[in-house]
Amino acid sequence: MTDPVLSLTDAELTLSGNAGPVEILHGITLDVTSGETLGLVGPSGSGKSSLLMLMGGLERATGGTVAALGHDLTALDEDALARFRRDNMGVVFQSFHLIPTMTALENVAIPLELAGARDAHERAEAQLVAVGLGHRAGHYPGQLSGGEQQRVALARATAPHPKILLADEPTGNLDAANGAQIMDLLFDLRDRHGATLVMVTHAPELAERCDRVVRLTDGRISA
Amino acid sequence: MSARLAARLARRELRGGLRGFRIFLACLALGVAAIAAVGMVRSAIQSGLERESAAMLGGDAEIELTYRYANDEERAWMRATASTVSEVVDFRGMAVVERNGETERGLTQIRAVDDAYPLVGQVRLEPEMPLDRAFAGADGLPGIVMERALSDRLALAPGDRVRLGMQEFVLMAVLARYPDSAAGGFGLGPRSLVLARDLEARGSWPRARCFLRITGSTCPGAPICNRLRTRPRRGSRAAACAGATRGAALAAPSVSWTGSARFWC
Repeated sequence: MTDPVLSLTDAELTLSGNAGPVEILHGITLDVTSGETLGLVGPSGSGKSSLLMLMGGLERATGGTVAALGHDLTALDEDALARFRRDNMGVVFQSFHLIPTMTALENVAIPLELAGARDAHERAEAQLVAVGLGHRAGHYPGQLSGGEQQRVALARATAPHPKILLADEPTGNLDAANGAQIMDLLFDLRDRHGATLVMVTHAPELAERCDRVVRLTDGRISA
Repeated sequence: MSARLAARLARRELRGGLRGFRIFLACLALGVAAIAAVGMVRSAIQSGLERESAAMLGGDAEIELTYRYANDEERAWMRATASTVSEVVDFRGMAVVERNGETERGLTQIRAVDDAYPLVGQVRLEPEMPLDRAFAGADGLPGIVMERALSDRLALAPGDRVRLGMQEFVLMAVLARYPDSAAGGFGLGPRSLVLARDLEARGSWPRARCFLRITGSTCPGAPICNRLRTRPRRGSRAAACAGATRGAALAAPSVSWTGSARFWC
């Protein structure tokens, strides 16, 4: 049996607010193996996105441990976490989060430039071609449709060839046709780069394509 | 992140226009304007002080002796050092007016001066007249000039009589402006100017001096500052001040400078 790429043991997440602490996740124990595609499903507010944030080190667990590629994310400081994400993870958000003042090409090149890649623009261009947007490289996000923006976001997340790909409802803001295109692209890129994919989704057809589905209810794994 | 990459990202960010920088630019402009304004004010104050410092001080250098007067040895050193020396005595007293059987008193900061006063600048009186003519007085009494706040307080008009200690004076004019107004330091009352020898000649002066050492004077508690104002013989004012300071220090072993003696430049 291979070592898990992602491993959570009794992970807890409690956020503090003005009305007092809010418990989001309770005792999550979960392993994700290399190359596996895991779907996280559940009703709104069940903690799916929070669990994804824990896996990406974007939220810090308040209890238990979260390990990725053998690194204990709860023990890393913010700078080390950022470096770890830069080198090993790609994240796709529901609302794209592209930088509006940069072209599609520059948006895709950003993680490569930050990683010090000398051929950042060439690789970014190739990745844009892979998502079918080679002809829109010089366009700004405001000049692209929602589906196109999400394809740029996908290209940005996969351009550095991350070992772990996290997607938070990647088709949530798209219509059925564009959602299907993005789904195909996501799985195609996963297959091409051999990445481990963890995806939050409400779409049953997307969940069906995952190797395994974990259902969350009230911050606990229910199935 | 390298500086090159940071500059590249910043340049891309600027494509969004300068709208996002409005507050930053406004703060920058405000900061530059504030620094420039402070610099201009400072420069104006500095040049004004350099231009008017002698008039503000009433001389180019000043030695302040607290609760005592310069002795003969010190005066000789000052005369050898400076081209002109003016001696001023500063103390608090009560201006007393007796009118219709009633006595009115007003606290005043008295400056008793000599004939050389003011070494620098002009005294302006209302009605206009030379200071020596005001000090000459009238009806056989020496003259006094005082600030309007005091003359109004005591309901005095030119020609009225007022007493300082045992000496009676006649008010000759209102003191509208005098050059060393900023040099007197802390004062408790409106300023009056008289000739020092008028106080001394009529007996009030020795009593005032004696009072500093014993109690029972007509001016209880009055501290007296004896200032020797000098005009340097040659060279710049700063050089004169530095020279005077060095001279005083060299003279210290043989001349009884007190710890409170100091120079103003």
